[in-house]
Amino acid sequence: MSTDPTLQTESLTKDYGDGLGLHGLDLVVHPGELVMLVGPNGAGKSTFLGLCAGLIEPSEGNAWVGGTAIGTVEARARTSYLPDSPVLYDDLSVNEHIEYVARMHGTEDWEDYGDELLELFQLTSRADDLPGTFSRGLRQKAGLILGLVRPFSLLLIDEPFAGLDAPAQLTLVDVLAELVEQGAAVVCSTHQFDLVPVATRCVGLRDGELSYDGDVSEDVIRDLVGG
Amino acid sequence: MVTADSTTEAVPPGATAALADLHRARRHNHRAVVHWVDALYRVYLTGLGAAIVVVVASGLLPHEPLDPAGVEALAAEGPAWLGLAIAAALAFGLRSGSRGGPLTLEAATVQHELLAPLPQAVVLRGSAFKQLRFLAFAGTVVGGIVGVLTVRRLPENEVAGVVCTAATFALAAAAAAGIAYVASGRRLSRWAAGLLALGLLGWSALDITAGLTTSPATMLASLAFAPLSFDPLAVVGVLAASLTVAAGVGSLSGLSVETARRRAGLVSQLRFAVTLQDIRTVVLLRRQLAQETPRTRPWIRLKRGGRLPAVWRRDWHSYFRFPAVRVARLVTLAVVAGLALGFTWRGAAPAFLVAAVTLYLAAYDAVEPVAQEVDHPTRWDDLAVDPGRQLLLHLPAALTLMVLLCLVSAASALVLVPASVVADLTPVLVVPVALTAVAGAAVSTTLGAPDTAALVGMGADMMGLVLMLRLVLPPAMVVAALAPVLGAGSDPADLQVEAVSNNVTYSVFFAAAGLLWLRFRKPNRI
Repeated sequence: MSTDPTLQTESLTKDYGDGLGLHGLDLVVHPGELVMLVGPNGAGKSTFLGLCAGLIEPSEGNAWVGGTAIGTVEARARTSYLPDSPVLYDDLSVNEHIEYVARMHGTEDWEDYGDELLELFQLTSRADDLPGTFSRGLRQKAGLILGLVRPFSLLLIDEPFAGLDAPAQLTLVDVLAELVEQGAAVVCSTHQFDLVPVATRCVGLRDGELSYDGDVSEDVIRDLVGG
Repeated sequence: MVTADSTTEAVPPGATAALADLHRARRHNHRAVVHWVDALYRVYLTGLGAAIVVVVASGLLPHEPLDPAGVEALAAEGPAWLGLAIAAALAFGLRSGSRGGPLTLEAATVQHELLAPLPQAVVLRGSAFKQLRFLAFAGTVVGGIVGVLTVRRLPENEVAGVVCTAATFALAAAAAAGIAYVASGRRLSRWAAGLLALGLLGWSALDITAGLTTSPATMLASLAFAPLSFDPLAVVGVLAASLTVAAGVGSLSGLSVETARRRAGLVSQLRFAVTLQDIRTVVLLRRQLAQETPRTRPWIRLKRGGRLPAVWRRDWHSYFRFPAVRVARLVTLAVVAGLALGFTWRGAAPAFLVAAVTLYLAAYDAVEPVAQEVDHPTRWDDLAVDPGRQLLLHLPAALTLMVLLCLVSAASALVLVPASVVADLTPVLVVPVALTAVAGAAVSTTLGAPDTAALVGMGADMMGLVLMLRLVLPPAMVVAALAPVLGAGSDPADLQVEAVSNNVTYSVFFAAAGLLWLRFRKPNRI
């Protein structure tokens, strides 16, 4: 069994040219951790998640997923990334999205698991519709299903609660708690207090630098966001 | 490097087949929403457009066969000149590649396919082949048209002439894409790509001046002239183009995912702006795509204060902050315009349209201060000057810049035209052409996106006409100003300067109409 942490970053830096997005971040996330990534706007949360997903290239430093450098096929197989705004094909139905995303990641029995997720997020009745007709909330649900329908050991989610209705928000909290219980590591950028009871750790960012790394509580989040 | 596929062990079984099925499903869904009558109608329109181009160009071009001396000169000089055009296409490819192009993926492709556990080359190959296929087809069509229009003046086998020209253009287009893939896959910096592009252009220019065939671009161009005078080096040119395409496809795995994502977002906005005919938004998005930002330190810093009018000073502040790449583009456009006018004078009449379009494009940058007013309507509206008058106050600086660029065009025309001809025509043409270009670009910039609600109310036919006029009228002003060049005659000793001068006067009326239109623009109407 691998002893590598699920996610490890070393001096991870992103310089956008007109300013630093992230400055020399060192972080280690182990299996079974649910990390709430918190900070004010422009703190570098989305940059950090994009870097770990291999979507943004670091200017300096390194990151590994399960001991494998980010951006490699192996790291991509282990990482599921959900951006803040769901990205969907306009010409594929939700069911078609599920089929191809799941198959590209080698999900076995994807039909049953896909149906289960559709049911969980109450999207079954819209499963054969094209997402072009969806509201923000429905698109978010579809995006979440696509992020969850494939195997991963690291889940990176950027503001997943935005646009979701209350039942879906509670469902998402339950799903994340279950994933962590199964050994996955989750890094979730959110200020949603509903996640506090199931989160194991809070990481605060400010101006691209680590401002907090420790226990999570509503007061800590308030401090990190507004303080 | 983030995109390197250091291992392929993690590729799930069946993932590649799933990717192929995904693409198949998308094609199927796409076909399902396109009615075959619509598809046929598009084919019909394209065919009709191509036929019109051929007929019009055929009428404009001389018909009489070239004399033996002309044929000999064409066979000797033609490959080098066509090679220069091919080098320009390759330079354009290098430029695009250094910016992460020419592939423009959808955001969903980046998210679901490039982040999937599949080798990047496998994901990108389909899009690259599709693009190469399209470019080769477009090259074949354009080359075929050029071939049809030229073989009738030459004593060569007509079919062979058309086929060779079409093949040359197709290979050149594919090679331009290939070299772009190499540049993006190998992460060539802009400077490296620029230097390489300059090298290719310089090499072709050397072939022209020395009368040699040393550049691969010239060698490929020799293929088009093979029926006239076969040069075995044409085979080397074909091989070089094919190798460039192969190297490009082989470099796909190095494409930056970050750049692909940035381009995906901007290109979708760009397409939307193009659909809306919102030219200003298109210009702004294109600049973002090229990461073209104003210089922090101006080329020349104007002294504070001074007696010059504030608007004039503000405009030069803007020009002096143009990034090097924009300055280079303006000069290149001016040089291309000059060379196109040179070819016009030498008998290739339609080339004057190229000159008009390039100068019109240059004018878009010259009217940047006008565009800044339009981009910030609240600030513009707050001024203690009538909004339309404020727009006109920006034009003297824009006109000065365009005059300078037109003088660059005149200087570059000297390569193809006797100095006496340039000296006689330049004073007559420069100011009217610069004025119409500025007026046309300013009108187009301030037009903004069309009011779709109002257009729909006009009915389909009227809407189509209005949209077409919005697009065509501004550049038509420059065409009108340059068209009199066609009547200058080809004899330097008997140049029709007076006729040109008289005809150019009419174009000033178009410019005046444009300026009048600008005078009554208001922020809330844009």
